[in-house]
Amino acid sequence: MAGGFIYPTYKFVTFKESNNQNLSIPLKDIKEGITFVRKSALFIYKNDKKIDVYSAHCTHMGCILNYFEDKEEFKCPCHKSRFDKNGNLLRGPAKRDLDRIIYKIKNKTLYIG
Amino acid sequence: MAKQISLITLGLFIISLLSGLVLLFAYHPDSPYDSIQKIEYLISYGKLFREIHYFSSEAFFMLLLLHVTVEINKKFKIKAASWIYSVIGLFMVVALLFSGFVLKGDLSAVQAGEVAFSLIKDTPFINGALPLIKDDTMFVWKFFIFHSIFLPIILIYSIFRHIRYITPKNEYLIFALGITLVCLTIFDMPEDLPIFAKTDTVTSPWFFLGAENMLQKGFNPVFVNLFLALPFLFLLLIYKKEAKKLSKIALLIWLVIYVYFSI
Repeated sequence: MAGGFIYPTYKFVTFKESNNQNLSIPLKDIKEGITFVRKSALFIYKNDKKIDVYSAHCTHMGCILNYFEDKEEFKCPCHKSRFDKNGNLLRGPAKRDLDRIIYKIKNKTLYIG
Repeated sequence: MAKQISLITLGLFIISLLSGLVLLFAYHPDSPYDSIQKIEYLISYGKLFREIHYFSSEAFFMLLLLHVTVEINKKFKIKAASWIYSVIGLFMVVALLFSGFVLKGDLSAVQAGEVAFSLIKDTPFINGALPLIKDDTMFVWKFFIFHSIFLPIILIYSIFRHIRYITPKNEYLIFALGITLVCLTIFDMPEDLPIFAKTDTVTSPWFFLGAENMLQKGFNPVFVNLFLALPFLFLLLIYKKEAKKLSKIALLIWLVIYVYFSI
């Protein structure tokens, strides 16, 4: 009987809508270098050859990274992991590079999700 | 002396609870940082109530630890049921302090919340609890529900099961308020970091500094989680006469290690 109550309660309180971020940004609004999109917690790196999109969460414990233009590095303010502007791991305790986010470009607009 | 400590601890809890109820009127979980700044700088006596809530809660936790230390060193036999509720209550207090830290909604709070999510996500058996505290649309929403409703209810129930025959006394309540006012006169509250601040370092709640430093040194998150759970396990075992001495030694060793990592 308890289980019959607990399970629906658990499902109710943990209900989650679709995780799609559905972010769209016109390409002309993305500046050269690093752009931080706080709402979706991601970084967009744009140069004359390519665009990369990374999750702004540290791959160690999920803290939100800061980008420091002077050193061209992402730094984790919680546990001091560091990543270069291409998302490659420079220093731990994180053990892997930043997570890349898949995107598509259509009609001169960048779409995520 | 042990009884006086218990009564002052209870007094601090009552002050923390009442000041928290007042703060509820001005706190909005959809804009946590802004509402905290409003409480701090705009609303009449907001800063006073926030500081009373903060310092009474911190003092409550410290007196509670002192109370636990005094009680486990007493010779008389502890009733199992009463003791289990005490340990549950202690866990609720830690959870309340942590959720309160997240509710301020500044940069440190958001980062502390993210670390908590990762710790839970990475730990087998408890990772199913993640959706209970994580809300993707409003960061502090579930922390708010737990901090203001469920955790206090469980804590109050645990306290009633634990103490039963002790009722709060006015003189101790006044003494507890005195402690709170002295604390807020002497000490400053930690600064709120704006959510867009670009900083090299954020600070976690002081009681999680050891865990943060362990994570920074590359300890496995599952190990850190288990390590944080150990004192509650040792405390649970203390009521058993045959395990009391061993549990106390284990608790002391745990404390030395944790203090070492915290400083």
